[in-house]
Amino acid sequence: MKGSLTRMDDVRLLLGREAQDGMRVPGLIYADKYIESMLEEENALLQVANVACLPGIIGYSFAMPDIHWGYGFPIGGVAAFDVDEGIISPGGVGYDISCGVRLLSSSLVVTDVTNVMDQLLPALFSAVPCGVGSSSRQKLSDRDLEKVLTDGARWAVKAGYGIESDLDHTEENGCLEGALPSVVSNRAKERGRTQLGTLGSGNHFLEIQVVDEVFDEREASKLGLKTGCITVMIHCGSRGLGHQVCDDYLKVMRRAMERYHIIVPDRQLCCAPIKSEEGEKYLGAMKAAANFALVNRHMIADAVRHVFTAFFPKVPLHTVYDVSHNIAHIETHEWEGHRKELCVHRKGATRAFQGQPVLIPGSMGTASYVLVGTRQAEIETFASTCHGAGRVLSRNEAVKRARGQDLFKVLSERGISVMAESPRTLGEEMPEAYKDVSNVVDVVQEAGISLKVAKLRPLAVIKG
Amino acid sequence: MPWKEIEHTADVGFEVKAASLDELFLEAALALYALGYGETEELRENYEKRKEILQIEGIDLEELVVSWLNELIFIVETRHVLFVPTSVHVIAEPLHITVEGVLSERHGVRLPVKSATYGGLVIRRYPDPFLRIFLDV
Repeated sequence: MKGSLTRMDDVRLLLGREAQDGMRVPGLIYADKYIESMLEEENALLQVANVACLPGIIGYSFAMPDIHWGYGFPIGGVAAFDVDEGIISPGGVGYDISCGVRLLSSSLVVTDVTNVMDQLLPALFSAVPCGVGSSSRQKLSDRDLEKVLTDGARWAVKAGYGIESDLDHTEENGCLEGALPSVVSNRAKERGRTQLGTLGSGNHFLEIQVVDEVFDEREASKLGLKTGCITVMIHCGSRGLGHQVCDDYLKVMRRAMERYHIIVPDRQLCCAPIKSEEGEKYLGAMKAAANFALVNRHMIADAVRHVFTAFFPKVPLHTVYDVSHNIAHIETHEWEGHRKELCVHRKGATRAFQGQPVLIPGSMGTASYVLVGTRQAEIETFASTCHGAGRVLSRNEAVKRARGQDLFKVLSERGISVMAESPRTLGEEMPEAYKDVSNVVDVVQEAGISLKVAKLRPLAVIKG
Repeated sequence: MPWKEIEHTADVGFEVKAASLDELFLEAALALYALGYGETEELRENYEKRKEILQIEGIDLEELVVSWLNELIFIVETRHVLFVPTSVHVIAEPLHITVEGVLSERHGVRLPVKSATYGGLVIRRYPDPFLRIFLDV
């Protein structure tokens, strides 16, 4: 597979169509020499090639510089499909539908929070349920759950969580129109019913940060960010509800493929035509799960605000932006001189229309970034960019390397306080388990598909 | 130990060998519990008196095993107990499994398993029953 790679420039690699039989388009991987040296994970390249085989794909099968092995699509995978000829695939969205990031900003400075960190961090840990199977303090009624799935964060604001202006700073204004709760299974609803407002586990986190560096004063000012101010980042998704939707529709798609005579190289890429009964149902269920994720982050942000208000009554937390990293959107793009409606799958990738905020969480103990999308992204990647650092070590390997290290102490020496539901998670999520996020961000900046606005340094982390 | 953990960059997987397909499904459940919750075979001795019977259907063996493990994850997530299989019968036509089992208290979490997946999945009936599966964690 690597033999089919051609370097186009310092940050782009072309995966030729000869890499695998059936590729309808080439692959385009954003990678400098550092990222390329980590492409030994053959499965990720194979997944780029597999995606290129899907019916109706337009342009390239893209991989962002945080590429690694996923399920069906690689993590960091982007693919756009003609809505008339193309397919929609749960594997192109992922299990954690609309997993994403919300960023809050404030006028607080470092000493404000470090002076009270011993009380602030436990208060946040107590206010935001985290860990596997963590439950919300409330169990939603059937009616409320339907409204969550249909109205997204608009429901939350009406129910008294957060404020109206939060919606102005959320992708799709906090609600994906066209969600269909009726095609979300009862099993999915049962999994989600008690999980709203919970962080979950794994790589999900809640982080207090400081704006360490501003690269673009104008854009930073527009987003309410300036050097030295405190931010809060929330990284989580649709919890068990989203996982169940994905699992349910993989079965639906498996049966649909027989009906539509679609053959895919990997069962995780099961799919159906966008304009088919199965495709439309999945899109409706996926949007419902995405709305659940938007409400989830919105309610966590509300809990964070309440805690901060107790410590800093006169200092509000503003929503900078909320954006998804695992989603398929129907969007209009320019293609071969025409405006064309496409279904853009972003699996571990971020929407990056010109001027749109892009939030890139780092790994525990390393920087996160705020970027903005560009015209170049609109032209080249169907308005898409990277989503994070991207793992390089397996969990066991990370735990092995972390052994003997007191990660609490190591991070404390870097000025980072940590609370975690599971000590093992700390080892798995050690910074060395990930690529250098700064390098990943530099690649997309050099490629011109997004531009750096600010760098955020962690002060305190809560892990599930 | 009839199963072994295998590496994945982001998630985790395991392989199981067994003497029969029935045993393969049973051992897959125990592997899931060991990886997800650090539970050993002893969990079979620590259960409530209540027995339950599950029936899982699949269009093929791949779907059957993914559905089986996802059913166990669903039970953990919604009922906060482990369903420990005591006997599994794979029935060919139409393809499904019937499982008798007991409920066991969940003690801890090792890895937060969210779903069994089809990515890299291998399930073989002949000559020696074998399963390789990856879990989204």
